[in-house]
Order: sequence, then structure tokens, then C-alpha cells
Amino acid sequence: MPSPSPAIDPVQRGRGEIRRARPLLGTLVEIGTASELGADRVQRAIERAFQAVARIQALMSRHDPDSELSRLNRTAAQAPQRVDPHTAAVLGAALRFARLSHGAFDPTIAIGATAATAAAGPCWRDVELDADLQVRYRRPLHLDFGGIAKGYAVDQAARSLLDDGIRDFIVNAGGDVRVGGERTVWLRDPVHLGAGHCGLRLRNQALATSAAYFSPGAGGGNAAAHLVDPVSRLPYRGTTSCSVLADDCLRADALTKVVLFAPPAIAERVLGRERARAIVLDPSPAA
Amino acid sequence: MVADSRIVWLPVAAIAICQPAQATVYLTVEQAQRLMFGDGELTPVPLALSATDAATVERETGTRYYPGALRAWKAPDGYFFADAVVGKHDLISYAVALGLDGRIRQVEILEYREAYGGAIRGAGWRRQFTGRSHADPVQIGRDIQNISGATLSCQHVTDGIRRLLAIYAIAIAGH
Repeated sequence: MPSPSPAIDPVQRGRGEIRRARPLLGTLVEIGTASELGADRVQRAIERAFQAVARIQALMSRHDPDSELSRLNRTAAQAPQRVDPHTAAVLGAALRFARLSHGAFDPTIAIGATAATAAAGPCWRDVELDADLQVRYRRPLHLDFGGIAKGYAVDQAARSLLDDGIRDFIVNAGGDVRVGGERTVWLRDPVHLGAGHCGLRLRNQALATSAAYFSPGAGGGNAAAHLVDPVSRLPYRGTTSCSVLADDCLRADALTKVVLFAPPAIAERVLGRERARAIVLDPSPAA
Repeated sequence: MVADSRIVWLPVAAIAICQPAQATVYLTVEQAQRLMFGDGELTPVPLALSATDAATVERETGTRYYPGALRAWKAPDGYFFADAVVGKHDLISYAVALGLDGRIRQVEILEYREAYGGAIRGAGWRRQFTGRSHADPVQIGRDIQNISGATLSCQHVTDGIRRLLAIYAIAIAGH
């Protein structure tokens, strides 16, 4: 049973499947396909799909000082900045999910906030995006696409594969998964990592999972987009894991945070509107 | 929850199914060589570091140096390296192609091997988690992560590549 991801285990398909993996997006990104187009053509298609992921990383990594997102975070509070259409697409989607979820999903983070000041800090309403792809921050803040850009990058890889005629594929970025054709993926218990699995059949769908994950003695791992409760602005302390099934991975990725942090009625409404479903693995003792 | 709810709650106890340890081979060393350098002839390059050089590599990269772990080949238009990093939960081998200028051209994961299913499933290990979750404040970005250990694996690969570049600078570019 293969996987670079402790959270999701895509099932190995029959013989003839080509799989590759690269370190990207702060995780291992895996692309696999059983396409019968011929090995050379498939390898070139996978190469282009990785390049699509790398382009999104170059634009939207918060840890790369040369990324467009880092440039925005340095300058967009002073003057409007024109952004790449990919960045605008992700920001537009992030602001839409923030509005739909009443701020339960929020791509902004306060700069230097403490627990006492965080709640009064800037929020998604302080970010403007206009039709000319100009971005402006009304208050000093940082955008962090950790809750959504990985899903978008997976979608871009999927689009690249489809453009190259590959219909049967899986793209897995550390648990953000998009499937072309039909495959089973496995969810894991977020607390007892080795203990439990739950199989899900995906058909031309995406699945993303967010979970609090405690890593004693991990040291490093600072490239991770951690979960921060956008209302309290404090780190998420729960042990619940939420997985969302949706038509694309950007939606699935963002909706996991909506389900974890929004009141259930709002989460239900947003899921319905986005034609998505959520699976919550709740480690509290079963009744 | 209402009958037509879009949210399904599953008690974790309901999905406790044991799985064997996992391993995936993405590419063999030979496949990666062909992918990165085509049919160009590859010649093994010995990487013998003196004790002083090894200490320099460890100091500059903050990693441990294991003699013989990293293997190198010279191609007509660059260098091919095969290396492995060991994390707390996994072992990852990977290949790196450098141009003749020493710049990274490509990185491919060769093999991923996971340690779950062994000692990590033990109750003692699990208690670490439980204890932590109720103890002192959790450090942002260190103890809570969006999706988990895959990120740590990536960090180890990044550390490994930094070490690889330092060894290249001393043992190949410096000669």
C-alpha cells in the first residue's frame, strides 16, 4: 500500500501504472496514472503536471521571499499591486469562501498578534481584489494561502494531465487528492496514525483533509501551513479530522476549514452550495 | 444531524483496521538516470571526504554525514546523485540532477518507505500524543500542522539536498 502521505493512502492500481513523486508545496507531491498512451508520452505529461505545481508554488509560497505572495505581503498595504491570474483566482476563491462561511475560512493572518490582540486584528474584509487583478490591503496584514493554494496546485496538475489526454490519474499533495477516473483512497485516524483506515471511492473528484496533528520532537516542519482558528486566531487544538469530497481540490481544501470552524448550520449550507460532502473523524469515545 | 446532512460523523473506533507497513518505489536508480540524462553515459564518481571535510559539511548544513550514503555519477552534461534520508517515521531515497554549473536541474523521489505498522503503533508511542495534547501550549507551526507527517518528510529531503550540495562543493566542484 503506497503513499507519501500519512493521512491518505491512494490504492495502488494494476500493473502498468506510472508513479512519480517530487518534493513540492512543502510536502511530497505524487502523480500516478495507468494511462495507456505510452510511457514516453505519459512521462512528459507528468513532467508538465509537476511544472504546473511548481509554478503555483513559485507564485504563492509564503516561505519564499521571492514569491508573488511575499511581495504582496510586503507592499500591498502601501499601494495596489497587480497579480498573476493564478494568484487572483486563488485570492478570489479565498475571499468567496470567507464571505460564505462568515469568516470561518479566512486567508489573512495578523502580523505579530498575541492571543490578547488577535481577535481585533485584520481580517479578509481588509483585502480588496478588483477586476484588473489589482490587490490592496486596507490594513497591514499577511495573506496565507496555506488553506487553499495546495488544492489549487493539485487542480492545475489535474488540468495539465487532462490537457495531455490523460483521463485516469491521481494527484496527491500530502493528502490533498484529485482523482481522474475512479479510485479508492483511505482516510486515517488523525490521532492513532497507524491504527485506522476508512476507504472512500472517488470518481473524477477531489478529497482534502485537515487535522490537528501533534508531532512531539518533530523539530522543524515549519513549512507547514498550520491550522489557526480564524475566529479566536489561536492554534486549533482539537483532534478532529475533517475530509471533504468536492468536484475540485481548491474547494475541498478550503471547505475542510469551513467544516472545522464554522457553526454546523453554516457549514451545511456552504457544503450544499458547493455540492460537497464532509466526513468528520471524531476521536471522542463512541457512544 | 438531520437526515440529509452533508456532514458524516464517524467515531474513530469504527474505522480501526490495521494495515501493513507501506512502501512505494517510484523509480529505480537506473530509471531516474535515464529520465534525467537520457542515454548519456554515466561514470561513477568517488566521494571520499576527509574527516575535516565531513565535519565542515555537518557544521554548515546542520545534518549528519554518513560515509558512503551518497552516490554520484558524472554525465556529459551534469551530475547524478542518489541519496536517502531517514525520518522518524519513514525512509525516503531520492535522486538529484545537477548541471555542470552545480545548479539543481531536477529532483525525483525514488522510494518511500513508511514505518507505521511497526513500533509506532505501540501504545507507548500513542500516549506521547495524548499527553501532548493536554499539556503545555502547543507551538504554532511545529506541533500543529495542516496535514501531518508528509511535511516532515519533505523537510528531511530538503535537508538532504542541502547536505548533497555541500558535499558536491567540496568533493567535486572543489577539485
